[in-house]
Amino acid sequence: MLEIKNLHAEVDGKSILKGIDLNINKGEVHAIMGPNGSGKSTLANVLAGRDDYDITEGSVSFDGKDISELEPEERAGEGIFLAFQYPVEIPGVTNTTFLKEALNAQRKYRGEEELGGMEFVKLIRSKTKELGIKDDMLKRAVNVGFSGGEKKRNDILQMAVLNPKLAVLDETDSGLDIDALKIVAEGVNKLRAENNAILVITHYQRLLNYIVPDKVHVLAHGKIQRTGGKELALELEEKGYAGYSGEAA
Amino acid sequence: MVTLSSDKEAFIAQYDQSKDHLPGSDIAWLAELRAKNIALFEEVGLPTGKTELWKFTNLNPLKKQAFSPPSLEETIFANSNELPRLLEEGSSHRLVFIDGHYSADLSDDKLPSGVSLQSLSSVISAGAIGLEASIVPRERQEEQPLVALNTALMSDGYVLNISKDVSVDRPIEILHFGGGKAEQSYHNRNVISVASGSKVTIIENVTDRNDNVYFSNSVTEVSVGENATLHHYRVQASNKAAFLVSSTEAVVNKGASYDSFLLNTGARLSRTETNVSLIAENSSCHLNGAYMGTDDQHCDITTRVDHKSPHTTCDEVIKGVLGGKARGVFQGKIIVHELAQKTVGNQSHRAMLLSERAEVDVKPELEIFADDVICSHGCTSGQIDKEQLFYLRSRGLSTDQAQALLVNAFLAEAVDAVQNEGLKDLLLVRISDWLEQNPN
Repeated sequence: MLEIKNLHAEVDGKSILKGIDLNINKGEVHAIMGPNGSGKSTLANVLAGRDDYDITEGSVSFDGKDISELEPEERAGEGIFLAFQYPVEIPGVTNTTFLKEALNAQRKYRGEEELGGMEFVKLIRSKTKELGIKDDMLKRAVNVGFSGGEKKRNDILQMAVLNPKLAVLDETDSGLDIDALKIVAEGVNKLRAENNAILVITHYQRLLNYIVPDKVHVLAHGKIQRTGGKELALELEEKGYAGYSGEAA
Repeated sequence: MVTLSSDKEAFIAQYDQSKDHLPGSDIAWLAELRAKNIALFEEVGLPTGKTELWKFTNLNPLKKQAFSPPSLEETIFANSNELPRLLEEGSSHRLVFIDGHYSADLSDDKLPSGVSLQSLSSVISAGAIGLEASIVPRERQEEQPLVALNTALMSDGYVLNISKDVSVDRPIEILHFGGGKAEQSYHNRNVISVASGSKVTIIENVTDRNDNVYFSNSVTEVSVGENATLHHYRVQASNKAAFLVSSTEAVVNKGASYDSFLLNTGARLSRTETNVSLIAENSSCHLNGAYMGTDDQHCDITTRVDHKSPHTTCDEVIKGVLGGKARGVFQGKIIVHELAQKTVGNQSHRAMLLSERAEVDVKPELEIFADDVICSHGCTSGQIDKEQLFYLRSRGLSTDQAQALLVNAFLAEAVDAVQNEGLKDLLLVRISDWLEQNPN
């Protein structure tokens, strides 16, 4: 589904990713772990198409299509979703309005019919119920006045409604206490399916206790240094990233 | 009719030419008032950038046009359904002005009891009884040459009186429909008097039927009696060739409230000036508004609030969005006089610039002569937040869609101040329509 080959990228002219190779298949959950400054968040932002993150070499293809030149909204339409490390507050725009506009924009991109009011309400109700989110959250402005945990849950709700093929969770665990972490992880697990894939980016192993990955990659100095099963995360938890910090980029 | 270019001399010539035909030319005090005012106008001239109050708004584009007085010919509208309305039919009392002239035929004839409405021309032709007290010279009249020009040339307008303790059931919607002929100028004079204990909503709809250039220079004198409330809303959506200058002066009595809102999307150049005097305890005013500009539009909102008595309150929230080469101006003066202890005055102006060539100039001024007051002002301007834009785009919205959503939310917050739900909904629609037509 996602095929990254020899990916080099820079931010503001500074080289951050220095040759990443990564393949993720349908139904798989991959985790990328690494020390601060290793390029984890850069990878997430490059995949989502943020401005100022430039691919200088290599390729990113998604379902066989080169996405490196696509706009962020086109990537969303293709089925890529980024759960933000810090979800953004949008004053004056309710969650419902936002979700409806986003969903219909994606459907339009894919040549699908846009959802009418009733159909949309039905869909959104089923998702809030599934995730145990109160309906009054829908009437609130996007992330405004939300606690850290609420913001992350809101991102998961968006993910549930938009139903992406690939969800990239960028340090979703940062700023969450253990209870909030569990709730968010539960939400993610409910969305795991044969047809979609999840890429979890995290510094710490603890999130992976709840979202159990099929594969774990260690990212350092802009390159994937090692790949293993879920046990690799436990090893990192025990030994830290010390073994990777000395390696040449 | 001879048309003239519109520098100072042209307006004076227009006065000289028409003074014997202007309404009330046979009424001594009125003729004298006009003569005094044209003399004042002659002395001061059209405002220029050298005048502090007109520092950011340049009337030179006006001078390039040649304006003639409005013609008195019959209107071409067979019935009022052809005319735009803001509120749905039946939910307002509507008055119609076509090219500056009051049209009795096109206006609703039944007004509720306690509401008296006459056109200025009919008041004058009936001897101008009671009018003298309503158009007394303003304080600082030498700073307001366009008010003097209006006084010299005024030919129509409305005189609205609400009797004591009347709650007017429906808003009074006043349509100012311009542009009938190119290069006309209208100098309308309006008087609104709300007697004690009354409540009324007035909605002025300033628009037109084509792209003709015209110059509207209107003056409105407002008095709000004890414990009365006036909601005074103004929607200016005229074409992008028009010049709209208006000056409203409101005197607010004990326990009374003057609540105004302006939505401005129109005009090549607009200057909307509102001066409020809070003259007795517990009087208050709200001067809110939202404006949008594009291309080379110029939108100036100038306000002055005089707190002349203790325990007076004013709130002012104005938001603007500018694209193209548009320019916004906000000047807000709050003066707390020595007597006016326990005054509360809050003012904020926020502008969002959608293009690099758009510009906004602001001049907030607080002059405080009392020591026990709470006053604040804040002015900000900036671009659309990039993080917000990326967040929305990462969920599938195009840049235009995301921008429209953000700008809409930004302006909607200002519209929230409007108390009439029907009008509020309509203003929100106007905002989204504008954004659709002007993605910038």
